[in-house]
Amino acid sequence: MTLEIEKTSQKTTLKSPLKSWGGFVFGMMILGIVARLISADDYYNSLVNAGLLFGGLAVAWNILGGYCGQFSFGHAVFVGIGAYSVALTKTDQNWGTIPGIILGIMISIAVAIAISWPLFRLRGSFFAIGTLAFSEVALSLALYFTWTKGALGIQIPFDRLPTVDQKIWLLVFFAYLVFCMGASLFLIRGRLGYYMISVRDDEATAAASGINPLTIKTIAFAISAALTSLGGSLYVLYLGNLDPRAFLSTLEIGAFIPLLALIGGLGTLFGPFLGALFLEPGQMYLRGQFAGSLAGISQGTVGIILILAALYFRHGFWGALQQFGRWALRIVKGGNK
Amino acid sequence: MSTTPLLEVSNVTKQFGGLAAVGGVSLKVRKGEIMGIIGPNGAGKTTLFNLISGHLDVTAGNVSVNGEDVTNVGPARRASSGLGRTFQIVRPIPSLTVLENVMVGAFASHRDRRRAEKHAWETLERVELTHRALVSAKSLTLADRKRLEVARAVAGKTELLMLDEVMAGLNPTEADRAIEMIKRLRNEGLSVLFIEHNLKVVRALADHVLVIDYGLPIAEGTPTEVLANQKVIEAYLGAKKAEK
Amino acid sequence: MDLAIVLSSGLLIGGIYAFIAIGLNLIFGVVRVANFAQGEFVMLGMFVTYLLQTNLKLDPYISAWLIIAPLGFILGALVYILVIRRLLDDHYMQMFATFGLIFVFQNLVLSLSRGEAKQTQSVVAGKTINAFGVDVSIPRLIILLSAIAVALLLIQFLNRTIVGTAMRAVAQDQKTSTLMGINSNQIYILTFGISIALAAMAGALLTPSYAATTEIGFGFILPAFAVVVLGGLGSVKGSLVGGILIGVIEGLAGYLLDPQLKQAVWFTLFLIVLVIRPNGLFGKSVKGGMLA
Repeated sequence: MTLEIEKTSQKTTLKSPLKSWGGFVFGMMILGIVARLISADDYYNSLVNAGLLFGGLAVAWNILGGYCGQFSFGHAVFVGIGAYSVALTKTDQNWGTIPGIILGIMISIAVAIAISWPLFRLRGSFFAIGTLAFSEVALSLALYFTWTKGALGIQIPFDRLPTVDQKIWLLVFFAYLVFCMGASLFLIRGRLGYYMISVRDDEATAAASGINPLTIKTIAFAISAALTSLGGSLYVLYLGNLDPRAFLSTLEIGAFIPLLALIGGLGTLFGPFLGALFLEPGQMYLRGQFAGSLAGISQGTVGIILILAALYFRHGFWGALQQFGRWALRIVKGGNK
Repeated sequence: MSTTPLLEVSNVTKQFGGLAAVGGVSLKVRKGEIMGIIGPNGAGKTTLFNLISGHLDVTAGNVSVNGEDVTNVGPARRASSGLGRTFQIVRPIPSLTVLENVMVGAFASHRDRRRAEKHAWETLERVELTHRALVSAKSLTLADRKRLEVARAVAGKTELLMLDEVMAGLNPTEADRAIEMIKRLRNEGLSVLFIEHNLKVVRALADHVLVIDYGLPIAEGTPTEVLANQKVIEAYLGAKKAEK
Repeated sequence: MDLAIVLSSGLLIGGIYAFIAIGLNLIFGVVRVANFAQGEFVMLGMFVTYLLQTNLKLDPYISAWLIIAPLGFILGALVYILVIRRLLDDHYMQMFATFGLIFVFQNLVLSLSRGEAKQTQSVVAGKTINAFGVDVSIPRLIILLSAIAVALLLIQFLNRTIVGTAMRAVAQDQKTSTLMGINSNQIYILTFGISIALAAMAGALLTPSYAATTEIGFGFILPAFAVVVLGGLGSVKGSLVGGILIGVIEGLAGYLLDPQLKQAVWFTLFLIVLVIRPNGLFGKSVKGGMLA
């Protein structure tokens, strides 16, 4: 079995021993153990929680962005929909957690399908701009309407939160990440995965094989939106309050999540979450260390990393790992002569 | 039912502004038939191909596959109705292996992954590409890429394979092997419509030939008949005179 | 008479949008890059103008031409050489890189300014002139007039000069232009230089009317894209007309609906134009244009 690396920014082939359920389960078990060990300390626990959550969000984005090749910079919308669905229903109506989450998912899917047709007709950059615009509009609408509580945001009553125990959230976010990755793996091994990659690489050729690119992109979009919405719901339950400027922010979320996928490795299974695991806690850590003295260092660093990644590191961690693996294999083989 | 032609093109026209790139062409391809379209450069052959495969909309006329009118339907739907097509510039899916490329085609007729994979292997055997199955499609030679294109089309629901200058860029040995492959596929039930410049290939493969010049049909018949036709000879040589 | 005020302020905002969009459109058309960071250069222009005014007592209207524009040109050239040049073929990485620039510039200024908004002084700040019964803000009128002037100059440059024609050639067909002997790399450097200079100048001209904040740049990028789409990719005239149009529509929307729904208005416009008339008002149907 060979592992290949692309010269373009397009991603690695499907052929990888880790693309099997066995490899996946094994990897997740290791991760789970490591995460639990690190989280003995409360502060690190919160960092790991954030890393796992954003890992799941990055994996969800990667379904549309990495595998299907459509770069959305507006995924904050779905984070927001998931968050608002839960926050509003819990605060105003005292709904249960699950119904609120499901509501968010359904709305997100509907929205994704609705904006698919106008947006997917556009070439790459313009699709990105369109999603960005959509996200910003969502933010301004959220700030404008009274039923969304405008700029004040929403404070979920303490007794309606499912839990405030960081260790339990560790479990929840880990489950979320595993779920998203499992969904990714399931997709990529099946017909839909192959179709998405075809559409990503060459729409005309895909169409000649009987694939309808718009249908595939829309499905990928809907799945990605649903998983992102779930993450948004969990996020707001974790934080206990919803600040629209945080949840619907392009710079904090909409542009940040794709960055995580890029750093980790676009279009790979483990890549996006690796990127998240590195950057999200890293970013939080920087902010914590330098708060006040060097405002903007964490985001500024993110910016520099983004530029460097785009220029020199577009295969991300996973790509680097694979190259290292190939190099090591060559050494071993050469050494046996 | 067996008398319904697999492909029926009725009087299709394509206008670009005032220019008629294709002006009223009709043709029929029956099941198990190999039909060739030839003509001088710029005659409108590829345009005609695009009209048939759905990559271009007709200005007038109809296209039917298996009796079903597909004139207003896009290329993806025509592909699922039985029209498979290769392109002059061969484009495999670069991120996938050869086998996976064929699977993309196989998924059209086999939803389950394992069955699609099995069918893809069988298709690779039919086109003699099994030795490269697990290699990245990017690394194939030109001849093998063309084979892959055919395999991907054939693995799906393709009943009529449209080959756009598939021999271009192949050396004589490769061309001979390609001819063998196409004949073999036809014997297994595939029908073929192809564009070719290489007249030797046309003679070897085609049951029936249509000649196009300036977007209009100028002759039709067996390869021997057509290549002896005075009008056809003039169309080719006349073009040569104009080059001087 | 309310309507007159709405229209006039819409026109003036439109001038701002046009000014910023012209530079964005130039990069789009010639280099084929979506410069998400265009607004950040406006922001930088504003802050540098402030610095020049506080430390050297330079009026924005003087520093705009004398210092800001040349500095912007150099910055633009640097951005191209250091970042964009390696990414010419990869649209996705371009997006990431330009977003990275947004982060870098915003946070650089944030740490230097400590998040304070900076208001620049000018002799004409706050002054108005009465036209057709409406009080028109002079600084904004200057921006509108400058936008028109810049657009006209740019059109002359593109059509009448050799370099400008070279730029148009590269915009239409880069490969063939190279075969004809045009150094597309130099053209790209020039394009970025001019574009960023324009953005920075826009910032300088904005200072009498707006306080400089770190977020102000990002707030301009969406209307700028909307202008580019509406006016048509690659058309300078389109950016001018589109900008003014969007400004007026925004003003009307604010008047008839609610000022807070501005973004919804742009986005709806953006979508409508994309669906109905993807080439915008004046855009050419260029290869590699907007449609997939």
